[in-house]
Amino acid sequence: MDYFTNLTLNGVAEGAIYAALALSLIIIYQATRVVNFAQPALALIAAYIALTVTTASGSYWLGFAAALVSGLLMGSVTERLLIRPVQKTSQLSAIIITLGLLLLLQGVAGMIWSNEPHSFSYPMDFEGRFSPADIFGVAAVLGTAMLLFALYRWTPLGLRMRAAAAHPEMARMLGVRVGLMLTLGWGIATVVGALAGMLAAPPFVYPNVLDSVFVYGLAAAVIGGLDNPFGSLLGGFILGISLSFVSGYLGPELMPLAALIILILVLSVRPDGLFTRPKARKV
Amino acid sequence: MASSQKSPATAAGPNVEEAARGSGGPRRLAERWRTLPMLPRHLIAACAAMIAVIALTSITDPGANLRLASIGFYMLAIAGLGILIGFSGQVSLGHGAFMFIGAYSTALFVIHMPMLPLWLNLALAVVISCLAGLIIGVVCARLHGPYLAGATLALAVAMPALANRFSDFLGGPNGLSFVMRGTPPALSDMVSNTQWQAWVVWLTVLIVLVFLANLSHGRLGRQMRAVRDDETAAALSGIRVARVKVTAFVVSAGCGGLAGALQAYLLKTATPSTFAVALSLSLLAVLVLGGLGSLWGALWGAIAMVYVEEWGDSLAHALTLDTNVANNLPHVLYGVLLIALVLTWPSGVQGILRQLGNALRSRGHSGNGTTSVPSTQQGK
Amino acid sequence: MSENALFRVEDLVASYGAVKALNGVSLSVAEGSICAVLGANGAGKTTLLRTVSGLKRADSGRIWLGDTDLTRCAPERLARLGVAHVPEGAGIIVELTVEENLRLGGLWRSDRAATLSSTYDLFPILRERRNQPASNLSGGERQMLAIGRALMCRPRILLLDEPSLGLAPMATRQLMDLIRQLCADTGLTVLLVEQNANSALSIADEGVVLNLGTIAVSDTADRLLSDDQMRHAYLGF
Ligand SMILES: Nc1ncnc2c1ncn2[C@@H]1O[C@H](COP(=O)(O)OP(=O)(O)OP(=O)(O)O)[C@@H](O)[C@H]1O
Ligand SMILES: [Mg+2]
Repeated sequence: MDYFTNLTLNGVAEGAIYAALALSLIIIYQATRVVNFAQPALALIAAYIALTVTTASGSYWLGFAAALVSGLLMGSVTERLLIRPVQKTSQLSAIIITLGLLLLLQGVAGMIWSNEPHSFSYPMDFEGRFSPADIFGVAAVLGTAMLLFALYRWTPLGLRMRAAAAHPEMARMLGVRVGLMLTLGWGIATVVGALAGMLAAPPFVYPNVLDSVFVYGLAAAVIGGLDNPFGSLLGGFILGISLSFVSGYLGPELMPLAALIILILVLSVRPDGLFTRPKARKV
Repeated sequence: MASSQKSPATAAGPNVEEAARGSGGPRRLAERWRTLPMLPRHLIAACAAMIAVIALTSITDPGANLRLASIGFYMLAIAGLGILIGFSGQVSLGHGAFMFIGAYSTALFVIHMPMLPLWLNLALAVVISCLAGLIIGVVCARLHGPYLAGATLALAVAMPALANRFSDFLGGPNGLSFVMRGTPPALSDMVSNTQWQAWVVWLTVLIVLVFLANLSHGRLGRQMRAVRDDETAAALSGIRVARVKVTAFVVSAGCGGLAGALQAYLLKTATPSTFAVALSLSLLAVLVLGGLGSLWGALWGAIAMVYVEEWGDSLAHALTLDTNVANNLPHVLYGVLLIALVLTWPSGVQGILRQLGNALRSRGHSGNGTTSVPSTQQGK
Repeated sequence: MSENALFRVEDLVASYGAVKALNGVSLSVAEGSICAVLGANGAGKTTLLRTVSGLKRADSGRIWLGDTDLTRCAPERLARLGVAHVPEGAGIIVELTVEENLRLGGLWRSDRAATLSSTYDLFPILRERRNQPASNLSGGERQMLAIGRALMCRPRILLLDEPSLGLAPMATRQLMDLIRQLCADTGLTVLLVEQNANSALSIADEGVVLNLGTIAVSDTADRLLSDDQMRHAYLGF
């Protein structure tokens, strides 16, 4: 029973990370209909920046802030310079651009910080069952999700961002600066991605550290349904807990296989994810 | 008056022929070439390619032979992925999984049934990967965009994990190594082992490419394009969309599996790390790099797959860079190449070449002073 | 139609590739009046509105609102300058609720709360359904929502593209009366594109008939209504 509780709590902590990545993928997908495969690399660079700042200043939280800010900048720049030019062409172009960026940034990270692992500290004490670090992770992800919900639902800026994503041309006619909104969407999403990176990286950071987390994050987004941010949160926790059980009872090597099976089971019953609402009537 | 003015169509006939004849031998050959039926045309092209491979291997060293053979199986894998993406519009991130299946099937057959001849071994690998493609295709036929991407990406991650999990049977992280017969004894004086391997790989690859070329120009190819362009419209015009999509998946899985089998034949090993997600993503990337929608694009993609990394390595070597920089230069180079190409030339290398060819041809025509023949150019 | 008209279009040319959809269109609308733009399918009416609101680039020509040159202004700036455009098919954002659609119309204005309640007074049905998704609305309700949303930015000129599309004759009548009423009450200027020439001309002050991208006829609404020859030639009834 104790083991079971442990696994559940571990799963919740891991699930929070998947949920954060899923959320960052969904924000971008809803804004620009692009799956951002560069997300792990952007989060990776943010984590390395945090590492550098923390090492230089001695403060973990200064590094944490630096990671979030650099996430905002990197996301915005990526949208503006790389995604906008191909937005009107095929979706495949955008996918390939993000793949190219993934390779480029992981390579650059290796060039600057080397391919060897650096130790990366936890925000808080990480020992024991559901440690303060785990609690912080879950709380940070849930808090971020709430903040984002409030932003999108209740502020004029959020309304503009939703309008820009849903109907760019009409939004422009209503005075919304659509380009700016999409850039901002990418920026915000990459901040969330950077948060996920900060939570996922410890105890070591190296160029490929976030790859598997990203795969589970995408799986979580798909399980929850890409039209529903809450679905992606739930998807993250569902996947986190299930994989924790698989890893604990059957062995960690089976995690990828279990993720595939869960994904296939969910998608064969609901091809648009668990929590996608029926399509709205257009016109 | 009336008798001399026949219907315009019959009057135009001889003129066109005369124009073609007047412009000399090569043009006439080109005309002939275009009027040939599809299958012989593709067969002749394949024979020419095979001769070129044999000629190439006779002047190169063993390392280059291996690379040439690698280009062959990668081209096959990329072409298969091209069928799936370029024709039926399903973007798969898990193509490496089928290479994994093909490679491990071959390895297992060699280890457990060493008496199987190579061709039967390869054929069985194709059958097994087609079956896998059928299962995945049926599951994925209803999925769109990111959902398909997520599912196939999970597939690409899960396959190597399988090898680690069942390490007794699949060899764990070290994979499976085995021995295979090389050059037949009768030829061993004249033909080196790597030469023979390159020939076997390319012969297999070319046979399948002929099949793919025919398929993509035939009825199934048209149906796939219709599905890619507009699923609803295709369904309304009587195409069985799900079936076409699954077929595309099966064909592409078969190509991927055969490519993996050939890779195993070439390297005499099958290791999980070869088939990491990076492989699947690279296949997709070089497919676009080479140019979607034609087998030539697959060739350029395969060349990039084999050589970009190597050029990056030698460039780093030549510049005597810091090891951190040198180790990562190929990746960075790859990434920059991809981004730059998609931003400036989304139709890929083949798109550039085609444009160049068209420009040259139209200049050639105006130089001859003949009217330009509308070129009904086909991918190959 | 004079030099001091509020809204003026001078010699506007716009094309899709080689096809000139507008080929030297000039018109002017006095403040507080309604100008009906009529013409067959493909005459260039929608293109005219899209060019005015900056969605389509003009090849040449000028567009004036009072003393402001609107030519080549970005659409998002035009909204703030007082141009509101209700596109063909209303352009409701179905992912948002009714109220969110309305609020989107005048987000940058400080008096938006007051405008919102006066818009609800104008269209009580929208107040009833304020928290429902806009996708639930019927065609007529969508037109009301689109017009209400356009009014949220307190425009100086309202561009309406076939607002009667898909409406029953009765609803069309009510809609036209409402537009007339708005102009009378608030001094709004309207450029009204319509297929339904009779109902448009019945409320308009002036009318122009577009034909293949040029102005074929331009006159007061009354005279256009009574000119049988013109009606036969361009409007087909
Ligand atoms: N996006 C486009 N690309 C190419 N041609 C276009 C485009 N939009 C319109 N056209 C062409 O421009 C011309 C004018 O079209 P427009 O939509 O302005 O007509 P309209 O008067 O609004 O017609 P309707 O009454 O049917 O709405 C037509 O010949 C049309 O085919
Ligand atoms: Mg129109």
